[in-house]
Amino acid sequence: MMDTLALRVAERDLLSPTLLRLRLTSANANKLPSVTPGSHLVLDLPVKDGARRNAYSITQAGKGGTFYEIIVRHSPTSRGGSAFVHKELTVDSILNASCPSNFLALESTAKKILLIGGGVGVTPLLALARARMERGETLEFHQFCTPEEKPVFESLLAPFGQGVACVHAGRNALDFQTLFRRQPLGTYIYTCGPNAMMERVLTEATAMGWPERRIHQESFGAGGGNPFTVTLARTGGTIPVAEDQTLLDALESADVPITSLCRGGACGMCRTPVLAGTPEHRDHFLSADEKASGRWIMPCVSRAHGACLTLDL
Amino acid sequence: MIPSSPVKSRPVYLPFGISPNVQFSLILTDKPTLDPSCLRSETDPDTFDEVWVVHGGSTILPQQHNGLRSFRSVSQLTETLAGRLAHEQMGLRLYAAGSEDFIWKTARIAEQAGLSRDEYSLFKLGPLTRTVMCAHCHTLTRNISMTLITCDGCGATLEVRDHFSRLHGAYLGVQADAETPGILPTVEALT
Amino acid sequence: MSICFHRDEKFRVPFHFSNSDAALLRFPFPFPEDSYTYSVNIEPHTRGGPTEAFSAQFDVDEHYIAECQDRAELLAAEPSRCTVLPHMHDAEWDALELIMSDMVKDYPDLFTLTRDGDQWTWHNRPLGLQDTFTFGNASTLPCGPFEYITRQAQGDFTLQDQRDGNLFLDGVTVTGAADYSPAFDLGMSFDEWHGPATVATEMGIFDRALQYLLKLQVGRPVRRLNWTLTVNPRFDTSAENYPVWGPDRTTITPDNIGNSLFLRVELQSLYRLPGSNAILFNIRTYFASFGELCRVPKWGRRLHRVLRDLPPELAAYKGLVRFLPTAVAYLAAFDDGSPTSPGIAPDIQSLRPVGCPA
Repeated sequence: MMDTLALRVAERDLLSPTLLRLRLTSANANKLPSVTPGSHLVLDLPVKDGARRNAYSITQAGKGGTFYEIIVRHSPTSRGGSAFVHKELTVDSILNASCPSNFLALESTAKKILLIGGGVGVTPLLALARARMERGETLEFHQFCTPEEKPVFESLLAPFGQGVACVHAGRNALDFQTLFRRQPLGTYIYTCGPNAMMERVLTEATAMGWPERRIHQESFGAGGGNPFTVTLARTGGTIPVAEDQTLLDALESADVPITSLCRGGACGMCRTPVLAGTPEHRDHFLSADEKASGRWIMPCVSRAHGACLTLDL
Repeated sequence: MIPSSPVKSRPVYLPFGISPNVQFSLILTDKPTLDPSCLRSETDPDTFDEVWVVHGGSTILPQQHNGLRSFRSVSQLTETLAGRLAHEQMGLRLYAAGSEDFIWKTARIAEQAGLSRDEYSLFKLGPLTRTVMCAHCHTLTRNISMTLITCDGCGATLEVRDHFSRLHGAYLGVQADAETPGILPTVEALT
Repeated sequence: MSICFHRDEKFRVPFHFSNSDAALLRFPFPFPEDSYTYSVNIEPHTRGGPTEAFSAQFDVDEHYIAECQDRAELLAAEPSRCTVLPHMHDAEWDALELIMSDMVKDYPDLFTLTRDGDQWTWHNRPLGLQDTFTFGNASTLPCGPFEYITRQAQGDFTLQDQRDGNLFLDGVTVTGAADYSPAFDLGMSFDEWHGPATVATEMGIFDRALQYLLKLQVGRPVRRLNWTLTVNPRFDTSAENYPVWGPDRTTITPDNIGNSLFLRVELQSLYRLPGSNAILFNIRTYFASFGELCRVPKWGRRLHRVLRDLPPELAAYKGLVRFLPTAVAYLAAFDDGSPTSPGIAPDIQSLRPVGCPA
């Protein structure tokens, strides 16, 4: 369903023992699709025990679709994706990726943007800050990291200049209340990092009268989730739905005839009766009552709470 | 209270209460005093950090006493507002109560200063009159209280609709007898 | 592919317009079934669909030159039909790049774009235009970039800014408004500019559509079809000129309906723009007279059933009340009661010559 891109690793640059920067170009010399600042792409990583699809923010995109740059942290708890990127990918490695998406775009009327990053959460913010700087628009960038990584982040933020960008070692190195109080009207916050940090930003800013819609948190969209199994009551089959696959995609791959149109939870065409299991609703079509009843699901976006779902198909 | 309209562009005005967590609240009115009907019953007018009123008179000085500031005219107030908002910080809420022309003028100043719709509230005071923009010549005709009017610009007989533009601060007026010249619907009072 | 352009068409008095057989067979007939109600009928705008009108991103057909001419005449008389708010300047260039790139891709024999860094040369063969300009520098074009490119593409265009969880109508080139005033609606949020469509609002259509469009992604445009009926092939049915075209609604008779009443279809497509994050909206309008449509048996039958069973509130909102009974009576002669296939395809490869009995 998604358009895929074949990408070639053109450069790899180990910024620190855990941070690897990759420059990706088109594997077949095509122009890469244009992207808005804040976009991410999903890489197909062929790890040993199967495929992994990980989302990475594009920190920089070359003019005219020449390259994308991403930064990948090797996390100790990695299930294989980031370890694969760090250990297996070399210059000239070829990868598949989905076309970029953006759920963290700049707002054209922002008077100022305040960027708050934690660790590798710096990545989408770099693209946003660069775009603002190129247009001569106001920004302020605060990045949190461990004391050991401070020099790495300082070099990443150096292009924005002192007074605009600041790296803080340790989570208590900056008083959010003071920071939020002195922001001019028309400021938007963009934050990306550990959930606890993003939650703190949201809680403290709203407690100081910031509207929630002025605070943007990175989310890679709600496409995936826990894997589950769907049972077809009429035809008797059982179909696995992978963590990075929609229920609709899984049904279509198994040749289950199902009508669909928008593939975004809006049009209502793929509405399907649920006979057992609890749907996790992510659509805008079903009413609150219909959602609460658990009798219907929109397979294009919604998933299952729990391991199984039985559909009247 | 304005009856609800099925046309979603028609503004719905609700009395103000100061939202929790607000750092600074400023309330404006085009009247000499703040009309308490713009406030929710439990809201004390003294809880606003500043109250700006249009007192009228060319000798009024823009001095401030206990958060109350008086202006000579609506123009003087809105001019001062633009300058003031340019130096304000996030956490501010703006409230404006008065004629529909006045409140939407302050809304446009607020948006230019960077406030979003979540950061200002408006309440319409006074008679149920509207400003109407002619669909055919774009002239604004003010103080309209009936459903049929004569356009100040092109002279067409306009039917006043509920469709409202925040940018123009006006309701849409469309020629009532465009399809059948001379045959007009009955005139009614606007609600 | 070569297109035989109709150069002498006129979309205002004295009207002069017709579809060739090929144009009629590629018409985006808007009714996939025998009844109609509002729905969020949005789908991916991929190249290809039930008729040839869906083959390109920005469809160019035999009416291209005449439609561009009609737009130029109206913009000369009423320049405010193209208005863009100042914060949309990046989106203007974005739109120009997207439309030019797609037109070149879909019609390489009609349009050429040569890029040398920021120096671009655009060659539009049907209109006989060739301009070299500096991308990003509006002073190197004869008018603003949005106006420049939308003067050379069919259908109306609007630019929507996305902010604070809503879409705002912050730029327009609208010379074919179906009964609304773009000048009045400028700057409105999504729910506000759809305010007059109260039936669809009550059905929750716009809430759902907005949530969907807020997530629209670069490179994955979407489309939907909308329709109304217009007396005479007139693009400019704006609220501005309602006193000019409104009286036409009283002129439909059983004798003239086949030639004078037109099904007006909007192939609406929406594109996320990659530089500005704005949304470009193309309202590509197609006309076919009732007489023309009934040459396709499936469409004549279906149009009869749809209009016969149209909910009265919908007929009132679309302004069809004055001539709807005449239209249904006319169409009844083309409905033999036999079943119609699902979907909008005409189900025939060629048309019977005009005048031959069924």
